[in-house]
Amino acid sequence: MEFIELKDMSHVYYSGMKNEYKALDQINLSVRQGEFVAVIGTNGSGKSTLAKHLNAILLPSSGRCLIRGMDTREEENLWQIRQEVGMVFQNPDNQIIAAVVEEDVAFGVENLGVESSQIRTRVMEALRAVGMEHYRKFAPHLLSGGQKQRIAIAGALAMQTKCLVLDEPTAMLDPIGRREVLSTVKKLHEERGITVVYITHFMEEAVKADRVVVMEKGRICFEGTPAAVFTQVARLEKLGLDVPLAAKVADRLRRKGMKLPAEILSDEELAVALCR
Amino acid sequence: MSIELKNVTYTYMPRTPFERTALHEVSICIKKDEFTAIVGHTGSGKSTLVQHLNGLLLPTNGQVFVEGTDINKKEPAALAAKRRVGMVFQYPEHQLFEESVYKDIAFGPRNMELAEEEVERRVRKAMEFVNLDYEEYKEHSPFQLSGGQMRRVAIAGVIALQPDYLVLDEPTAGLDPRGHKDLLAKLSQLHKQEKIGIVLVSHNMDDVARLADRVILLNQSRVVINSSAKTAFRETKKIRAAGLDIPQVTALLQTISEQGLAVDTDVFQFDEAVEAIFQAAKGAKSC
Repeated sequence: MEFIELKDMSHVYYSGMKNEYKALDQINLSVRQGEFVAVIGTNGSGKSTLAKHLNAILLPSSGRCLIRGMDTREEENLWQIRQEVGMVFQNPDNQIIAAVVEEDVAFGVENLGVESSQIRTRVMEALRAVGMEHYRKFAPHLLSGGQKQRIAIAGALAMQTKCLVLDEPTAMLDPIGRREVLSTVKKLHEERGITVVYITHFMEEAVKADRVVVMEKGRICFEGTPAAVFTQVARLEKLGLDVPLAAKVADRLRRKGMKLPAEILSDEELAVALCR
Repeated sequence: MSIELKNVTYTYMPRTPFERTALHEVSICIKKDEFTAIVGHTGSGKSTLVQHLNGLLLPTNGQVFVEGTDINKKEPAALAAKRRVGMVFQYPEHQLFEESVYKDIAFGPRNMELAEEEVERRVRKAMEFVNLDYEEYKEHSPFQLSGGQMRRVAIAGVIALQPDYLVLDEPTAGLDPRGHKDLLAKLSQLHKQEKIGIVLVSHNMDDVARLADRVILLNQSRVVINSSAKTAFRETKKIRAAGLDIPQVTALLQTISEQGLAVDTDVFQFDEAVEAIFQAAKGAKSC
């Protein structure tokens, strides 16, 4: 089943004003339930604008955005859509609001009017899912960036969200924090079948997805499996994007006349191919 | 020509239950003719350290000298010495506030009470340096620019102060790969052409390996590595223990070498690495 369906969706900022700007231009994209999709593209390519449509923070200027068949433009769908699609933004400090971790995670659920004993169970369960149960009485500002992002993810899980949309969740984190966040997302995807839309500038993170969508100037310029996308080294570099190091090295070696298998993305794959 | 920290210790909220030592007896020398990288995981003390470089934080113990002047003495020479060190914080675009790009960049030079012609000359030069066309952008509101452009305006504002040293805390966070590359190339140019001492705080070990002459690694408030980039990256264990990655190029070369292909693992530049692998593979067709 398609969880997300974007049909000819466009978004225009400052419509009718002199600084009118078309950020999304007739996007067509479907994301299946349980799929892990990475979105890459340069700054200003429309990635964040796209993300904000997925839980109706922004509404399409034209075309449609359907979440499990529900149109985001119909107001009676809003609560349901926001419950099903949870957002995690780049800066962890901008999305934490309570003074105690468990209260922060509970905030969304409380607003749904869930009974208090149920809230407790859900919050504990969500914290366990992101490996933060020992921190439930902590003050969020004393946590590391990676831990804060996991709290933000827990907040969405407590809402029993079906889909996580993460907009550069690791941009501000150190390597440990980045690994924590990515492995948490991977685990939730694999163990609970959570649908994931993951926006990133880090190609080694995008490699972990089922499918990679490349955006440029408000359009989707190509998409495919990580192996299919990241072997197009020249095309990505022309767009100003990176490719995983091993793929880039393999590409240069091929140009120097070495024979290597087509699908090399990781260091191990390259090492094995070289020693064959 | 250097910034020198002598036995600097810094304690947040001393004599309270929240007391925490963020820097422990740090003694380092940042030379003007070196590109210095300060690395360490979140909470290792990097930001506390750089805030000592121009007197934003006063050491609890120890001294900071810029070109030989103790910047924490209350005398005019100390203020002048502090001004030699320009600081670009994380997400500097959040500090933009003026109504036009020109006014924003001119804010610092005007505060230095320079003549308006000199201010204009500096704004022009700074904008040219960060690749923003003067005529096109001077009247623009900084808030209508893209993220990458805003970041460049913010950096131009610091460059217009004409510091001898430029300290940048994670300047490329959130920029796309091209913006990232462009900004670092600019810093390298600033160092080589304008002879400005650069201090780069970063998590990205590949950038550090490519650009830095000297690497200072902080772990739990102490300096654990202070050496040339080449020497520093041989200390794989120390780097991993500090919660950081070794450069991707190094990791790749090490993986290949562990697979049994004898490749030089001591190179950090992408092109050199490709060449090293190519030569190694050609030399040993079977391994």
